[in-house]
Amino acid sequence: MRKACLKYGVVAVMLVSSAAGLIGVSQKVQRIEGEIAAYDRQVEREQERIRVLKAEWAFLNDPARLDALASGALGLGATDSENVVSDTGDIPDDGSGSDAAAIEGAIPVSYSAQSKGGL
Amino acid sequence: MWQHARYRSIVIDGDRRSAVSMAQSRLSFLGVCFMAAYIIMAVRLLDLGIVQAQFLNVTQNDNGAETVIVRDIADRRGDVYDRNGFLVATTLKTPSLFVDPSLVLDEASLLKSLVAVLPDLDLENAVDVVTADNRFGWLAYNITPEQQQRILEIGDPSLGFKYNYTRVYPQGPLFSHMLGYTDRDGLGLAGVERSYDDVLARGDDVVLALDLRLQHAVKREVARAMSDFDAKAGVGLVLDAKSGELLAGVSLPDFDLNEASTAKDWQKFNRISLGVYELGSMFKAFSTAALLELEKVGMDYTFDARKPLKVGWFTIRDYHAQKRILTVAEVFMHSSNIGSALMGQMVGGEALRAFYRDLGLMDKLRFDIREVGAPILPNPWREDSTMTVSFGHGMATSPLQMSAAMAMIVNGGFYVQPKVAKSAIDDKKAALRVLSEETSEKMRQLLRLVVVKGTGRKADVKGVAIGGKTGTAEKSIGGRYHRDKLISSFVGAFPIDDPKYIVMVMVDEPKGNKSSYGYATAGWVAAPAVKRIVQSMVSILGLPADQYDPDQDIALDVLPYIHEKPKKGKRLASYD
Repeated sequence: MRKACLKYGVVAVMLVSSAAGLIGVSQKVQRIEGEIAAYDRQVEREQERIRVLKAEWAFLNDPARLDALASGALGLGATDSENVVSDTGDIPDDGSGSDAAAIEGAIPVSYSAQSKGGL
Repeated sequence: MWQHARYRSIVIDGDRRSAVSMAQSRLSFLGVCFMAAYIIMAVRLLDLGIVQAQFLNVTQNDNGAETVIVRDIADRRGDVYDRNGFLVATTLKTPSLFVDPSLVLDEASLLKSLVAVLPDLDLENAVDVVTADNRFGWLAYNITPEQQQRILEIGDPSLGFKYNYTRVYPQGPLFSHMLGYTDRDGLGLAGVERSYDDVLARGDDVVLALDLRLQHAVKREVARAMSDFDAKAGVGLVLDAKSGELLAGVSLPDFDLNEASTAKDWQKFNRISLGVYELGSMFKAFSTAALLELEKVGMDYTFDARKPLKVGWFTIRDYHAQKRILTVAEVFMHSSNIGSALMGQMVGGEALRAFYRDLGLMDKLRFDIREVGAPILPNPWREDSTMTVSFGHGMATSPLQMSAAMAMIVNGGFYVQPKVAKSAIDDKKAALRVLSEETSEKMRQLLRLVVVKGTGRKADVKGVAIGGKTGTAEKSIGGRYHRDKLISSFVGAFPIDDPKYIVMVMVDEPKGNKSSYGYATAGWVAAPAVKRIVQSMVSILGLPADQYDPDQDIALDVLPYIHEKPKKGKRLASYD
């Protein structure tokens, strides 16, 4: 009889503790799921913001706008084909001592500030 | 206690025994029934779920009548990029502002603070919405994130936002006719948006062959030619002479894609590929190529252009008649209608039609967007049609179709199919030869000659060898040709030794001005625009512009066939 009581007691304790553990785990899972959902929402928000910024970047880099700014504010115009040289050695020395190669990176000069390669 | 029971099992006899055994047998019978029911259900479940599943799907797909094709719609429509990866169309989640009038406390102060944020607010409408006796009303659609932030800062509990997807075109009107636009539900209605609707609706991106920078440069120069000569409309395009990729395609007037619903039809009309025009003398390049290809004559072969040619009721004249016997090279350089008509006559109607068909001029252009206009051909095609068509009279094509044919003439003789999207599937026809390399080479020499000595002199770019042909045509309105209503165009190819680009500009109804001495012909109007486009291309694309050697000019090869008429006084060139 005592043996049986002990047996049932042990089973009951195990049941209660496992139930408690299970509830704990399930609570934790729910909390983490909530966190994940929050992160997902945040990622989605950030992605949406990136999309808006990309569109804004494209809008600000609209060649019509850059053209107007370059010609209006800076007085720049389209480059003439005569201004483009393939070999920097062709550029005569202006006597200022500056190396022709120093401006190599700027040739050919594009009329707008855009570069190839995308966003 | 219960240990004893093992040995002394209960024994029941008589009536009670039969009652117990009956209960037992009923129970087991019921158990078997339930078990059988469960097994049947399990088997049926397996059958439907696994065994029949594939079979059911297959029959549904096979039976075309029952299959409904639904557009595969993703949450968000795909983006469109230009060839260098610049964003040209995207879809943004934009907030729209609504109000619950029943929660409004002070209408006047609410409207005052709203106007401060939304200067475009239609105030009369807003007053109606705010004072309405209901619980919902729209105040503003698709506001910017900044505006939304400022409205949130107002903190009025009656205001709220609903989100929807809006198509945004950052460059506004730049790509209007090629890119197209969508309706409010995101269904493509024109251009790439319509013809690539299935791709975009799936959420996939489309990369265009168009180059944003060239598109702008071409638009700027066409707009300038139009304003300089007070023209009605204009077209400019840059085509890759080998791959057929359209690097720029501009049709003016245009419209802001973000406000496509308010654009007028004359703005929306695509003059690049949908509009067809008589482009005039440009066709002399095609009839001359037909002559060189089919009749195997040399550049020294001559045609009698001494007097106007009477064909039926029609008389073919030259604008600036040389009134002498011209070589093939001279006919082309002086753009002689009489000489070209005689060339067409020599080739013959049948052969000329076949040659034009190979160049894709007789059928509707194959293009990857759907706004394509079929060419207008002489109907019926008579003997005199062959002669008039040889100098571009009585036959209308779209500027793009003509440019594609010109690409075939200069690129060594290979078929070219224009395409606006990079992802367009390469046509097998791409490697198809339509004319011989020798003819193509001779045509390049002649086209260069036109720029060096002929009507296209104003298209010559220093440092770049460009060849081309002018075309000035009188517009036919109501079956009558008008002398004062012209279509002036120029098509150029460069570098002419091995052309990579075709540049074409067409100006509709230009009017002569002081700087052109009153002329509105192609050499004055379109050729300088092409020159400026090529100059921009040199700097934008970083092309070599100092490799040109005048002593190696291919026009020198045909110069021996040019016999200048002694000059009688000074006369202004009309460059037609």
